[in-house]
Amino acid sequence: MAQTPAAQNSIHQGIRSRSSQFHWLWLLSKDSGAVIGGGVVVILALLGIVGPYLTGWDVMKVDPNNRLLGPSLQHLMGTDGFGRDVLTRVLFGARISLLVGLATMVFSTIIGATLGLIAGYVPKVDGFIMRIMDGFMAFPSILLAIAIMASLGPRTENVIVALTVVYLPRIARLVRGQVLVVRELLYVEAARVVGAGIWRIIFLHVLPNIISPLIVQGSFTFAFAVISEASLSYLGAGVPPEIPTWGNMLHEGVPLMAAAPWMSVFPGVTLAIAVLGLNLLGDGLRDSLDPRIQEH
Amino acid sequence: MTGQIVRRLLSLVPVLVVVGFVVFFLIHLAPGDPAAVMAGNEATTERIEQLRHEMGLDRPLWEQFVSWSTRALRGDLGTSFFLNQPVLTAIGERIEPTGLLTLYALIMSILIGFPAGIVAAVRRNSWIDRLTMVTALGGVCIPSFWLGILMILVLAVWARWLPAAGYAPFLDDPLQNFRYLVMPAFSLGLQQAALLARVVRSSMLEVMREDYVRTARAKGVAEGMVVLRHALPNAMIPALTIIGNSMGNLLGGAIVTEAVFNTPGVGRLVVQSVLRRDFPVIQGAVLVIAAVYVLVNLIVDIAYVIADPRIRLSTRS
Amino acid sequence: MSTPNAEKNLSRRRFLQIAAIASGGLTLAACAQPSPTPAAKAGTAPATAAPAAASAPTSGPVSGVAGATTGVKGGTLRLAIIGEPPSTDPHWTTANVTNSVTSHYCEPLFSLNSKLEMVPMLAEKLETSSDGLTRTVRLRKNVPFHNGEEMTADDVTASLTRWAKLSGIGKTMFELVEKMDAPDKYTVVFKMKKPYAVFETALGLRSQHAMIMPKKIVEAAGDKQLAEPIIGTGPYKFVEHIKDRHIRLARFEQYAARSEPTDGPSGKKNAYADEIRFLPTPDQSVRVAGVQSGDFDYAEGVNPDQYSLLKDNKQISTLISVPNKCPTHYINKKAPLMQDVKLRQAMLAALDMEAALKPAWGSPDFYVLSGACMPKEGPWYTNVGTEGYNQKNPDKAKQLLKESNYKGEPIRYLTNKEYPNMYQEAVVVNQALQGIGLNMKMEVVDWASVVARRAKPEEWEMFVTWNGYPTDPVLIDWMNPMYPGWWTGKIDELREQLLTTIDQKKRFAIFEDVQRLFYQEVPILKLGDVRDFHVTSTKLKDIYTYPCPMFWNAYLTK
Repeated sequence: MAQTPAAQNSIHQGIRSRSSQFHWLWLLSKDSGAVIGGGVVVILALLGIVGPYLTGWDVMKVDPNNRLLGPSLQHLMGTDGFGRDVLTRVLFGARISLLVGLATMVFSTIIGATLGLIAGYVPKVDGFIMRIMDGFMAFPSILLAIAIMASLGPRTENVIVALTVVYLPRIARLVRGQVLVVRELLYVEAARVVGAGIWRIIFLHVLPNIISPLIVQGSFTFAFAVISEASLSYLGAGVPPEIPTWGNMLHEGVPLMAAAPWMSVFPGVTLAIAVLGLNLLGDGLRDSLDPRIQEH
Repeated sequence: MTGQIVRRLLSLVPVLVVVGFVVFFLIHLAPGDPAAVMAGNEATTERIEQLRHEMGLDRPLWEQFVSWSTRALRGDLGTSFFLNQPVLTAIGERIEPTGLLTLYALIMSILIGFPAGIVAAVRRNSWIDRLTMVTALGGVCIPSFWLGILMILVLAVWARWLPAAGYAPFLDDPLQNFRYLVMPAFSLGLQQAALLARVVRSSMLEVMREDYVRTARAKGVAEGMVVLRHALPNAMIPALTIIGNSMGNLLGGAIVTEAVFNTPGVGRLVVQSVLRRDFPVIQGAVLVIAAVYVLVNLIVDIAYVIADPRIRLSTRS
Repeated sequence: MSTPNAEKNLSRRRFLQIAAIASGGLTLAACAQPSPTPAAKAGTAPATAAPAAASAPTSGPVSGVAGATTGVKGGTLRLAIIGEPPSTDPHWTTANVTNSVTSHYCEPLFSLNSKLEMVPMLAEKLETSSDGLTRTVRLRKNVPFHNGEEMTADDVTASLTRWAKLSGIGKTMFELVEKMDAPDKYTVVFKMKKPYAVFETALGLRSQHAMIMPKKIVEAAGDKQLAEPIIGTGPYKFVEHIKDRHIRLARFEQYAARSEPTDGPSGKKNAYADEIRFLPTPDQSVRVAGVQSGDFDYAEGVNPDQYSLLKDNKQISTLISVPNKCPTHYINKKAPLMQDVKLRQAMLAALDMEAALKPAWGSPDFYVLSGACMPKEGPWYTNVGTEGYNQKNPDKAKQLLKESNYKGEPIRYLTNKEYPNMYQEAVVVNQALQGIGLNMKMEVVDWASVVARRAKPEEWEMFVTWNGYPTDPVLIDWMNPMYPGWWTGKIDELREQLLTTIDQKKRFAIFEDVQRLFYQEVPILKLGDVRDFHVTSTKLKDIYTYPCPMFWNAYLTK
């Protein structure tokens, strides 16, 4: 019977005390930072889904006679250049920004992990795949994203595509590295000798080992994707401007920073909080999945 | 090791091929016509067609790619549509601001990140530790362009300590040059500083639990000496990795920072060239940036090997 | 905006904390802002806001200059412009930035004055034969180029020949020129095929300028861009150009100024400043911040929403230009869907022009609700036929829509973010048109894409831009049948008449017919007239802003 993931980790790290499969979750719940971080993200997500309906203001409808109003009881975060309620848009923005981040994380993980698995396991294509990954990684990420957006056109789906392309090479390399290590392990050799099929080996032995780093990397990818979407939108190369994302709101609000600071302060702060939450969660995950404090 | 270095250098070639291929087709497939941009808002269709022909844009795409890439292999990156000068010249004129910006940002990130991380580790769990770590976390989370605008508003407009915009070449006036670059360098370097602080702290903590450190303490060596002579050198190694990776991140981050602060560097050139559809510049600049990035990684890896002889120089990190 | 009180010797970490507090402080400040009334503050005579006297705009744009001779000589003007010009060659492109820069070192034969009339600049006199077919231009004598040579008729013919090849207006004009030659050193004779009403206007049009440059240089360049330094006759000469960083011009000491007093862009050019530096600064906030911090003397294209904040700022002066352009939303009349006149009339009926102008241009300080096709300040202004402007009548619009053949087909509406006002107008217009039941598909792309797609009739139904006002209606962009939008039909005959009739009264009557047709056929949705917002240092005086900012009479006080 294959050893549990926790025990297998111990072969690499050398220090482990429990063998329960979900020990890491228990450890995670003890990390106050991670709990706060995770909580923040969940709350923002919920607010994003439900919030816009609760405020009573329309997200898109323009009202030029009420533009650039400061925060008041009616408009807790003021109105923007079109007279739209900033709070409603910030909440809606949570939806889109978090969705883009999540989708990027999911797709880049799936595609990146697949490529990494193939590269790690099949030496013939290893060189080819990794060259291409290196090529993509040699681009400064924001530039690659801008170039892809310029090609595909400004749509939310394209932002997800662009950011996925930017982040998947790192994941591919990570997975490939892990696969290379796992391949050499004695019990995997043994399984191969015994005649276990390649898929069985991958699923039962390889995958469990890479899940932990993937989860950790995933939360950071999520965070980076949220900030990248904001940077892209700020440069004007991101999600179409009518759709409220925090990045788009910063793009419109920053030129008016002096005249109407609420337009950029609120989305900016919310963005920082969301990314903070994700980072705290990621830190917590890393600490609980790999108990010995490791570097990067 | 020389063999390894040579192999790493050779691996530059396929990387650049991939980069060149990707950027060429991405840019050319994007809608938007450099001739139309050149001809201006109120130009006629004929004038635009005239310019297209002059710029060679009406040839088939494959032909354009072959012509560009064969010349690029010989070091001729072509002529900018918009700037009417060779691409290499255009990039060369702008290397100094970007290079200095990245360098200052790197230095700042080390000067801020290292001490912060060490202090936090040495005073573990104290309020200094917590404050530093929270600030470091914040540094990673605040979008750099937002921080940049805030800095301009506070430091340049309100306090008038630093100039809001402009640039002075280093050779003309190094002090002025620094004044123009200090805000962009700071907003660029802050994220890296934050990252570095956290890594230094955690690796210091790890090292300080090692046996040889405990032995030193048991022998009665003063705490300060323990930190400096025993813990620090060994904690440096993971930090070096971060610093090495920083260069890549800083180069990428420079693009956004230069847009915010209007620094006349390569990053701003690339963004503007994308907007102006100045294909030769986009293609050339991306190639140059990619090459620099790979070379920097190689240098960092060599430094890594020198710093820790236990590590082999591998072709893949 | 509240800001923290920072101590002198900040350590870096302390600064980080302060930055964090600063953003928190901004949040508090944001909450403490009183909600201003949405109605605009009562504007003073908006023609000029700072330099010199402003008079009510009755007879042409106010320059605040009217022969000012009190300028202070010396100093360097640091001008933050919106971007790097595509070219410094005046014949090469219509881009505004190029026009604005080149007009300091090159001059045309004719130029505008403050009353929007065309007067001679490099020309001395224009003689027209009685049948209107022969135009004789007498040139001024002893006008030096920057390289020391004297300007002669050969330079004029060579320059104009090149201009005719590269410029749309030039091409159109020269199709009507049977022969152009230079019988003597200071005379150029044009034999026209038909009477051409806009002879001076075309030669003085401030867009891909017919500037005069030395014959040898112009002929050597041929169809390629001129190599720098560009040689002209202007009051400043070309010194240095580092792309994306600066363009430096220095006073041309041998400049041959006209003797008449300064009158807008015409008359005497004083060249007070020793040096002029154009500094491309694409980020608007940085431009403004640069003037506030003293790094720039002038920043153009400032967001009008900043006006209420900046106008009370003692460190800077605000400058509102005279209305010099109009936002126009073009309709593609080659697209079968949009050839339905009732549909276009329905669109017009639905629009509340002020609602569309406000988010883009801020307040009535910056926009004028005028439906006329030429500006109020000029001699072509008339209200005739403009009842269709600003109807704000969605019910009538829906009714017209029912009468049309529209069946819910998608309408592709192109706009862009690089000119923020184009985006903001589009959002409002888009919602208004959606409100009457049109299936609008707004696409926000970058400007390069807009320009590329609008040339292809199958790629769009509507796009957003603005058009500068030329001094003569026949030169307006949409009067050109080749300009995207492609307005043809009854307008063709009116255009021909306008072009070939010389009598001013008759032309005015024809123009009134054009305007009536404009509101019957609705080839374009015109939103109003708009002004630019610039910001300058308090020391910079006497900038003339029509049709684009000019600095050859500007000066810095001590």
